[in-house]
Amino acid sequence: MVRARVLRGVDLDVPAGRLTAVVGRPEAGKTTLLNCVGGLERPDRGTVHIGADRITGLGDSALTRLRRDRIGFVFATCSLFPTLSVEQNIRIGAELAGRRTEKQWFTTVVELLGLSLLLRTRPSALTAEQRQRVACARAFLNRPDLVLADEPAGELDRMEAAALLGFLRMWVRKLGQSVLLATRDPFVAAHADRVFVLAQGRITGEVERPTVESVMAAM
Amino acid sequence: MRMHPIHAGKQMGAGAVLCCVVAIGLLIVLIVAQVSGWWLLPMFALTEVVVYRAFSSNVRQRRRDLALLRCFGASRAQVFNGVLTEAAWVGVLGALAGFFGVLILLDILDFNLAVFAAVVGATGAVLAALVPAFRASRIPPSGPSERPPRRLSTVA
Repeated sequence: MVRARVLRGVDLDVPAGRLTAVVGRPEAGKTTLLNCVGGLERPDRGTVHIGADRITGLGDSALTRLRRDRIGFVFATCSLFPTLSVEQNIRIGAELAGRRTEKQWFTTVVELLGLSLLLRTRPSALTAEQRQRVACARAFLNRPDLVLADEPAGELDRMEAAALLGFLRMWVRKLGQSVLLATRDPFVAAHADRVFVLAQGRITGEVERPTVESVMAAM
Repeated sequence: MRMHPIHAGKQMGAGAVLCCVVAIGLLIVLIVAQVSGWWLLPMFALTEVVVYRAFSSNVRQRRRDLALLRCFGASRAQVFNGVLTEAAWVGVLGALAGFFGVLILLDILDFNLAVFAAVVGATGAVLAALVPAFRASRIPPSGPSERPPRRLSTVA
């Protein structure tokens, strides 16, 4: 088996209640970084903490519970189940946990993301932007400690991307949600509160209150 | 009936389900007809192979969906039980087919024997799905980034 070193000495602090972005070219290690944070991959070395809890070294079932209860995931594409309705897709985490979601909270999430009229629809009937909003609703519904968004606007045009990031920002501002976003697009990264630049597995720069220009300069 | 999300993803094709159901049904008919063991054993083996193949190919096709389910917090046990539940449903369908087969093809219906045969058929389906279910439960969690294998294209 060929092993490649993807991340080297990454030291990253994701503050709670803020939108943090990791920006880098393709193959820079963004997805691997997010996977390590989200308990999808185990780093060979180093540690990951979520809040006060160290998650490196946890067993499979503990990591499963962590992903289910404390992490929300938003991916670039195709992360909705085509055989489930929008509502079932949104509720999947709670259903897998055998939990009931409070009606009030579900309605709030769905209304804030403008999905009230689409609950019975199948994902195939939605536009790319609507699908991403469903993915966000699913990630937010559990009130996770951290939402990991891997290229959430990867398939969207600029207008749609701006709208989606507007939703993410609103969530961070209004509800104090912590979001870690990975993207290759400086335009997307510029919506964050703080941007880390990842290149060849290392953090090479950091931009506070980023603009498109400052992110591009840091890259 | 509402589907549990563990059954999300690519469903088994109607053809595969039909093959399994016919095989289980035939097995049940043969048991009720009290044919000799020399016929029963190969038929049982054949049923197991058909169900096993159907479920392993289904699990292969659903690899990405199952990895995603694991990502969203499905445990190994849930995935394992999910596949076995589907096998149990196929077994029940097969048992029903077997009952109808017995009613249509055989004159005498020994009810106890038919029930026994149905139980054997349904249990056989679950047994055959054990290995595919175990494999499914070992699929590591991942996002949808894992691309499905590309089809070979024939370019002249």
